[in-house]
Amino acid sequence: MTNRRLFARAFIALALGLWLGASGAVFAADSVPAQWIEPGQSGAFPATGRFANSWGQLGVLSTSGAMEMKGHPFFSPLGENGRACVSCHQPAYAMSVSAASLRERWASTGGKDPVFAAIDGSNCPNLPQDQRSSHSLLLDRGLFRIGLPWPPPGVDGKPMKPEFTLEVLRDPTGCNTDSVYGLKSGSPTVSVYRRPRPAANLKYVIGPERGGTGGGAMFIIKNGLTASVDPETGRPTSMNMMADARLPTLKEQAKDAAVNHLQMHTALTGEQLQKIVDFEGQIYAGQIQSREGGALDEVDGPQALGPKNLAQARNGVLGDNYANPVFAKFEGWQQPRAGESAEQAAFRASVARGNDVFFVRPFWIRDAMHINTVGLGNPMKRTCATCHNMFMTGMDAVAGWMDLGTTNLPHANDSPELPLFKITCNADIPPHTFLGRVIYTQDPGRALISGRCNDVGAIVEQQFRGLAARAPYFSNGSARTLRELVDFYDRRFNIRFTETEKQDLVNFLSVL
Amino acid sequence: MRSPVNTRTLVIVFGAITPAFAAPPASHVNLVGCPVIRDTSTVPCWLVRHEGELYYLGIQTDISSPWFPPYQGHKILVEGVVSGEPRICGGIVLKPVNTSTLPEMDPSCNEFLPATPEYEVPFAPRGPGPSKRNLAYAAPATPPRPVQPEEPKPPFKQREFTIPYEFDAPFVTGRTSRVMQQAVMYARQIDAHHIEVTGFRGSVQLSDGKLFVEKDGIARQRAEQVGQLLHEVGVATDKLVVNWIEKPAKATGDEDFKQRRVTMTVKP
Repeated sequence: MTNRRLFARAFIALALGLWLGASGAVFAADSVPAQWIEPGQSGAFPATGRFANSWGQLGVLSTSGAMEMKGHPFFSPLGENGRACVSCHQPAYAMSVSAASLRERWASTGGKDPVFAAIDGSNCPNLPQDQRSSHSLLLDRGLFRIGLPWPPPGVDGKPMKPEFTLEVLRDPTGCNTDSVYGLKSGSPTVSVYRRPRPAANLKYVIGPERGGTGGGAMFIIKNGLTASVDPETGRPTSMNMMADARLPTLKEQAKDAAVNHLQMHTALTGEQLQKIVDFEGQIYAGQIQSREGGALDEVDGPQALGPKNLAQARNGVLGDNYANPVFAKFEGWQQPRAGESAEQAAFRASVARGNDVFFVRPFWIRDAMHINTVGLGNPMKRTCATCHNMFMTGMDAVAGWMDLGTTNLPHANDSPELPLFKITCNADIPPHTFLGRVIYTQDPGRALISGRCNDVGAIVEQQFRGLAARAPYFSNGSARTLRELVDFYDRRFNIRFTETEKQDLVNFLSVL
Repeated sequence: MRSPVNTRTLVIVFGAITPAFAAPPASHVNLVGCPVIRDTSTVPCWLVRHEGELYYLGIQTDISSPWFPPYQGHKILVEGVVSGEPRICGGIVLKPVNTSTLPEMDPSCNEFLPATPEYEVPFAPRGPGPSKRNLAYAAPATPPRPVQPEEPKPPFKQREFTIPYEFDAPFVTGRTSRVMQQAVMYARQIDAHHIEVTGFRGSVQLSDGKLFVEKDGIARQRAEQVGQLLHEVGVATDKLVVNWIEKPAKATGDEDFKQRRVTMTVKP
């Protein structure tokens, strides 16, 4: 399909979405490429939209109403590589991107879409950019390259002295050992590969201020260190936005992305920044139609589902309790209701059971840094909702980095396509509480920012919303499907879910 | 670790580990052993096994608990008092009890006792699932907020704030950082002349007669980290004095854990 035809299809779909107004419209339900918004595209971003995915439809709600995309900085190519924010935060994919959508984009554009820009849309900028293999991590796992200075800057802006040394054991992309882009270059850089997070439902992600610290405190409730602060207000931030919590606010993230992802050579203006942040702050995304379960936004349906409920609910509420269950209640789906088909009723009952498994089924959580270490002991007998405890999103209500084992050995999935680092904790500090003094990891996570041994492999929890639209999962895309996600937990924590429990959990996650 | 603040060493003495011939009071149990989990139909009990005996330490609750369970995969230091209460979960009840998870890993510390009808904990304020309220203890509306000190009135007084530490732990924790917040807030309220931070190194008189001494240099690590953190939240360097005392105070076996501390003295 040519860009012109693609453009025309997208425009028609968007116009239709606007015309249908609040009832929502399916954006070219059977055509994923037509759902892709290109940088600089004109047309209306609708007040409500529906986007097809394999589980049904994702709903996207713009609480400020419809708006023109042309000229808006979120949708405009601002830097030299032609990307816009929307390149990696597409509404059809819950304001993220799926690996499947990227593969289709590669096929439809011959790899010319700016999302494949060398800077981070390839495994390393030094590779031949016209070859698929140079973009394999993005195409196969949805991973963008994140290049971070090593050692990281301290609070004074000068390079800190980390608590550990970092050695590259495996470098399949070549970037960490490259003379220009690697750790021994003139600007020592460590490259890790991560999924983009949804730019939606952000009131839960960035606030309230007590999010990161547990009560507006100066110190992080999990580790006692100082919380990052909003440079504009001086107030502590949630530290829940990025995989490594390296940037404190949406504005700071936008500034960073403009330089490091869009390759913008001038700073965003204040007006541009405000427009981007204002847009992001009023977008809500959640599955709205289930292929088997039917409408997810029924008035008398579960209170957590659909983008409208996301927009209306309170943020910053601790949900690991019966007063404010994380994803509210699914009681109405436990038994068949009038008008439901047998298949629909069965699916809805499965979702309700899945919510119960998530909320109340205990298992032993063992050797997970920043989970077991926050006061419950190792191991602890708890449920999924212990860590995924924020009302409506399943994020952590406090600064959410923890080591589930998605990137650290021995628990991480075998991934020869990813770098492998050897971390050696310095002799003058205690060893990592659960991994000892030498750690092998595919992504040191928060430790690349904090320089702390106990942060190796700790990744900030993501929101659970719009999962059906944005596979693969985990920060390193190591779970290709919701089933693989559930299987990872089952294996990691030796939960021994039954087959029914696994399917119930998958169905439950698919409707969020 | 670099210290951004004025540092002065009051005493730097290598506190050599020496055999001790004293013993704690008879009611005290100070030992190093492996933590043991006994599961129940609700939350697990935490015990420690030592010389063929089980001692009860506590149960799993949540972050509002006054006592945090230790970590398996490590040995633990237990400093407790035999309470005389009936055994819980098969263990002699230590109350009060202070536990430290020792930093070095010990994979042999992994004893797990499955749940049996014989052992239950009906007094548990919270099961293994969601809380009936928000948290097991005190039930604040959200995760615990730092305690807000009362508004001080002149003439302002010098106040000392104490951060406790587990054995050989050089860094503050989320829980103990609340003390720093209190100190900073008080210093701001009275426009303090300066905050004097002093790190201490502890030792423990074990029940077997041995003296268990923290690693050398830990008083400095503790003090410098606290000084750094206070600086990061806005305490000016010229208002911070950081000291450390590496010579452990004499251990008696009674509340020796109080030696492991950093004090922050806020001076008007």
